Amino acid sequence: MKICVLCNKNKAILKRPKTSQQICKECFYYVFETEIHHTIVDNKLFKPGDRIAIAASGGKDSTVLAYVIKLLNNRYNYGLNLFLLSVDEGITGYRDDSLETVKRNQQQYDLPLEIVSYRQLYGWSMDEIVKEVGLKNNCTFCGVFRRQALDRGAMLLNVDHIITGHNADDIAETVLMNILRGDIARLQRCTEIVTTGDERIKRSKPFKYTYEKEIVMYAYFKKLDYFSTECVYSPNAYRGYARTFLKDLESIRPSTIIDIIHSGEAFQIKQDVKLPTQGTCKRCGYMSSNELCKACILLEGLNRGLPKLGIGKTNRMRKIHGDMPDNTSTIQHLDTLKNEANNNKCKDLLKWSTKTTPTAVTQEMHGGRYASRSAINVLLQTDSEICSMWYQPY
Amino acid sequence: MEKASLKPGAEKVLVALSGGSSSRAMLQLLYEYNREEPHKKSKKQVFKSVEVCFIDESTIVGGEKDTVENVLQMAQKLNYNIMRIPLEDIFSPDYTTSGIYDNVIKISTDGVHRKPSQELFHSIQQQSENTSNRDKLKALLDGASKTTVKEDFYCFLKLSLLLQYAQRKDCTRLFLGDSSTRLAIKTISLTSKGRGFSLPLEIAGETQWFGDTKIMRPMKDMLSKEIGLYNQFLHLDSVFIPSLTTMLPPKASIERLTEDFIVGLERDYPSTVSTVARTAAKLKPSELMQDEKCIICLMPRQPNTKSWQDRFTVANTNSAAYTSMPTCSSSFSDGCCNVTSSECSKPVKRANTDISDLLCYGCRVNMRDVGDVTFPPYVAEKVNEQRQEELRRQIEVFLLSDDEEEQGEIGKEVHIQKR
Ligand SMILES: [Zn+2]
Ligand SMILES: [Zn+2]
Ligand SMILES: [Zn+2]
Repeated sequence: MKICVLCNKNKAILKRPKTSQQICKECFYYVFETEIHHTIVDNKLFKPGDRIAIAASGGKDSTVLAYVIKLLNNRYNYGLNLFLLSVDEGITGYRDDSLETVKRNQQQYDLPLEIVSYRQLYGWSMDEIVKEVGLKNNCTFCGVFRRQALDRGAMLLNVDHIITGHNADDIAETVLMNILRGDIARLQRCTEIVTTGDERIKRSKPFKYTYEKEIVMYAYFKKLDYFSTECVYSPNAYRGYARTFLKDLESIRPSTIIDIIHSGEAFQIKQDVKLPTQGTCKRCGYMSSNELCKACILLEGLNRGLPKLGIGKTNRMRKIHGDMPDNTSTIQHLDTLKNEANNNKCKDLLKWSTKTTPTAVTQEMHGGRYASRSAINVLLQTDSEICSMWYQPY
Repeated sequence: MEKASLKPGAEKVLVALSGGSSSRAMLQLLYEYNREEPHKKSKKQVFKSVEVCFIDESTIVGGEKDTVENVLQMAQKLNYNIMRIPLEDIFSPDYTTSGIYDNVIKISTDGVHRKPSQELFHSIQQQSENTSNRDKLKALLDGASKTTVKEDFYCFLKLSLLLQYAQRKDCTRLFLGDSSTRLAIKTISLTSKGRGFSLPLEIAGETQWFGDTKIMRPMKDMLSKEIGLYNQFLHLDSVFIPSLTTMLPPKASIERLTEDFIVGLERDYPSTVSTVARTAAKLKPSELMQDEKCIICLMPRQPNTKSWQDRFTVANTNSAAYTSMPTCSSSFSDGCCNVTSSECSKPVKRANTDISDLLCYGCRVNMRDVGDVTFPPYVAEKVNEQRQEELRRQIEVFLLSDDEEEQGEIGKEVHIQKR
């Protein structure tokens, strides 16, 4: 019988992918969870009272993420309010099934769920987009649209922070890809654990140092319910090369994934290399380094029947086809969304405040910053419209 | 070949010639460049003199019989002095900073291989005279169970030999023949081995990391394909130098796999090499880079990497694991016992013999696949230097400096090396 090298007590039943150590199930759970806890603590990802959305796709990464974060939140008293946030891209045979898994997760983990769909945000589902643009650039559309969809969903949920299931393999692969593509700006950003998206919504990756194989192993032993089908629209070939290479590297030396991340963290870019500056899109208000954000240009291309508009040839296409006609539909402006979210917040608060004490209401409102005695009285008596007048965030 | 900031005729150059096509072309280009041109008025050469050095690995990797002779002739035909240094000479005291240091260093792990940042114990001892340098080199390479590590050792030993020889010959520049293809491969393989911190130095066209000897890579912008054409055009012969992974499948080592990967990609996407080289050129040495060199690879050590490793690869499941003392292992004899580990229960005091903090991250990763091995004198000498420096720093505040100038000089030197 092989004995676990970590506890020297139990029977070893698995070979840890990260280190090749032969260990027992309990020790595996322990090291797996503790490494994620260290990642959270060392990087100061959360503070008590944070409202956190877990980007949930129904796949293994996000399912394990929801499970582990909920577990650690209880074990170490992080004091987090957790939500599940899903994006419905509208992919038949893939997303519709995986969303069913997310809905089951919602029941199993007892967390509130918000679903935002491409159809509702952009007027196009992924299936419709593929019909229009074919299978060559569809992943560009999907990636750009998903990023914005998540941020918009987060605003609706009124959360400050989205956590995603990106694991160590994903990050190592991205480091390699960015070197191969010569994308120096992304090379520097891709190993950062926290990035700030729009409206100060943070994004972070608690699985930054967690191996994909160990996530699968964890889900397997814990018998977690996840959806394991790959997206029906396969990713591009070039990324495929990098992925195969990384798998081969890992088979030569298991620590190489973490070693690549270590390298990526050490990289520093020469000052004279220009990095793009951030502004906001004049059409939808989303953050953008150009006048228009990528999502707006891609959507304009779709709506005008010019799918190439957003893919490298923007200026030339504009010269030929002119500017966007006024009646073209666009993404809802973020300000509108923010008002909507604010109203929802007030409505919730109102509903809740009728059942609780004025002091509790005071505490709830940004640590009492906006709430005075008289305001509470107003809140208790009046409707959401008045409420939204004085309830201006920050 | 571009050469910035050169004082004409003042500097001596050492060219590393392996006999392969890239270094062969480099030698030729240097010869053309440095030739006294008859039609020019000033008959001044760019370099005062050119030395050539050939590291002979044939005792380890074998190769054709006349390879060595062919390489020597390449330089002799151009009337250059060429020195052949067998790789095993790294065990000779000649190739140390002092030139006489004759101790070697035995490094062993705790044998348990639990923590990723495992402790590494050492003892410095007199070289045995009964073993040949060749056998010592073989034993060192055999101590590494993975080809990736063997290849790394090869590389470090070669660089160390070249640097020591350059210093001895008062050469202020060392020319290495890395082509852009080679450097693209190195960029990816160094990244994969966790050596991102030192990467900017290891692929630089020019670096002063080694103080008095500047390392130059004049071939850095040329593809290996272009070099092949150049050699063909001038009828320059090169020799085939077998490596550790010649005839082995791609998965034999990280270096070999990366080569396969980059060469394959370049075939399908012909701009791969130039893109990777361009990306890597935009990286700069970190501000955290101090003068502290890794005792094995001589590259800079990044601070705080040990705790980083332990936080994200947890290996103790109870807190007691941190405090338990290591017990004696059979392979390590330091006065406790020479018996097998099971017979020995006495904990060994090793606290002050752990040298893992003198290694860079990449070398510590390597040591996981290494048993007990004996490293050549240059490593032992470095350990002594660094321990001395550490002691000096500890008592620094108590030292009365009656010679402020000298202090200033030392400070300046460190500053220059930090670039
Ligand atoms: Zn165990
Ligand atoms: Zn926009
Ligand atoms: Zn090193």
